[in-house]
Amino acid sequence: MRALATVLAVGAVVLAFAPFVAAPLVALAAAVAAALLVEPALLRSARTLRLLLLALLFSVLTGALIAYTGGAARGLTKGIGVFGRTAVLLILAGLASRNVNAERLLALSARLRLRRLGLVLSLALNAFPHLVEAWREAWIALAVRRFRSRPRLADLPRLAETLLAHAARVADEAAEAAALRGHSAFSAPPLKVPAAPQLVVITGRAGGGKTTALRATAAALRDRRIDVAGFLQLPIVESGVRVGFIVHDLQSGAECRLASRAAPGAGQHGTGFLFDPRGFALARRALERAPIGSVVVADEIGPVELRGGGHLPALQRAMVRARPVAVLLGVRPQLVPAFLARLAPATALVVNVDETADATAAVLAAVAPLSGQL
Amino acid sequence: MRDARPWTHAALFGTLWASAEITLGTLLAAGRVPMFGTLMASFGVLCMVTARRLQPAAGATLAMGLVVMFLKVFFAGGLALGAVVGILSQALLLELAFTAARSTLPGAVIGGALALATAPLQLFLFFFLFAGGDSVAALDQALRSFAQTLGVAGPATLALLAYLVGFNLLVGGLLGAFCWRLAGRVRARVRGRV
Repeated sequence: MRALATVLAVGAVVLAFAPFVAAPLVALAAAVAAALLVEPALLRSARTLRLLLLALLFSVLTGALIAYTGGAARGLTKGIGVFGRTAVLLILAGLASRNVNAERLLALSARLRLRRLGLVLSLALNAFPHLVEAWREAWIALAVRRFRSRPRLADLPRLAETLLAHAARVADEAAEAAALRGHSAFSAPPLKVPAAPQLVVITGRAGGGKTTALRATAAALRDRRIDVAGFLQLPIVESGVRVGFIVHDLQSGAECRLASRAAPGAGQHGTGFLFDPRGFALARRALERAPIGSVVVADEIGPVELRGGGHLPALQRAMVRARPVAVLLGVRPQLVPAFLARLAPATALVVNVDETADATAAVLAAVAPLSGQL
Repeated sequence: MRDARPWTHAALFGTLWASAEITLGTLLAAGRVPMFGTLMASFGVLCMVTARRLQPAAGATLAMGLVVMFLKVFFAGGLALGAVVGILSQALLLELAFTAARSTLPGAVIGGALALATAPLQLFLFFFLFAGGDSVAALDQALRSFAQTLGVAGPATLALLAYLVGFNLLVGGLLGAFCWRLAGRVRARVRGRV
């Protein structure tokens, strides 16, 4: 029954805009038949009747207008055509709104090979009630902060800014969730990494303590006699400004300058830094020496690696050769969803140092059991 | 590198725009507030420009238009044909402007101007889609006759339309620049100043 209704609905849309005089009326009959098959109550609802009356009024006005300039017969034909087309679209839209939910939408979009659009529309469908509520809450919060019973017109830009920032945060969270749930339709094909190990992403704002947390975690793992290999990227700070990075080999303790702040516009790989190949070589050697079954650490994985360069080839090789029990990555918050999508791990733990009181304990809780070192 | 964020941003910012269209837009339409279409289009431009500044991915702005159309149909329980035509044309024009200008300020200014300029043209576009080209000519002729009855001579419809489009182009350009600036503040608020 539902399949027949779908065929009738599609046929009605095609016919509604066909260049034949009778086509809109045949299309209307098909749309009514589709509604009778799956949702007869729709045709009796007050809202549908009101909309159809409006469509009729619009059609009569259009027909009268054309009759005034082109003759009565032409006006009548055009008026009927306009009513047929608008009525078909109104009925089918009402029908769709009563019969489609997020799950059906996803299934349909997958069948039509439009999976990404299906995910976008499903997310919108689920987020709608939340954002409507956010409007109300932001409005009240603004009034409370300004000590007024209700905000003024001058407050509108601030309200818009608050709501837009809120939407952006929810979008970031949704992207992260999509990556964790493996919605590959959203992203580029994942990297070919065999038997993806436990992935731990340590994230947080710049200067928030990602490298410190990685260093502390590496030390704690070594205390538990778990092999740790890889590298940290220690910032070089002058007068409160980051002017470069040093690569620190976690096993040998060797250090080498990796990056130095470049003049504006002179940075490499789309960054503001100039890179030293010796720094990359030390990081590569640190990853190559990772013992089998160890924990591999790679700090400050960034946009260069996202584009397939930088430390990424060495990290991929280490993940293949050393079969690590876990990989610990230091990543900026805005790049986390993209990395999760690219690495497509079986499981992933994201630890935000800005929000976690003891980041080291959180990582140890995830990693230590894998090494049998409780 | 593509990731999920341009598409989740399209979904969320499209939803924000749709929530304004469905709640505030319905209220303003019911209250017959003058130029409410331009007001709602301005909010649409704000959402599209902000999303594009945060995630400059080609196609995401058009996806936002589809999200708004979809939610308007589903939550309003029927098809508001005029509004849907307007929303889709605004999203398409901003998408073209941003893609041509590589998601920069000129894209926001040109896109904003074009998007707002469609507001007075929507009636003609709607007539063209549903009643064919001769209905637009009939509308023009009827308006001229009406103007003559009132004693107004000259190319009434076209001149009036040109003035309206020109005014909206100017306001839309300024709005695009303002939205770009506001989008920068939103970006600083969400991502922190780099």
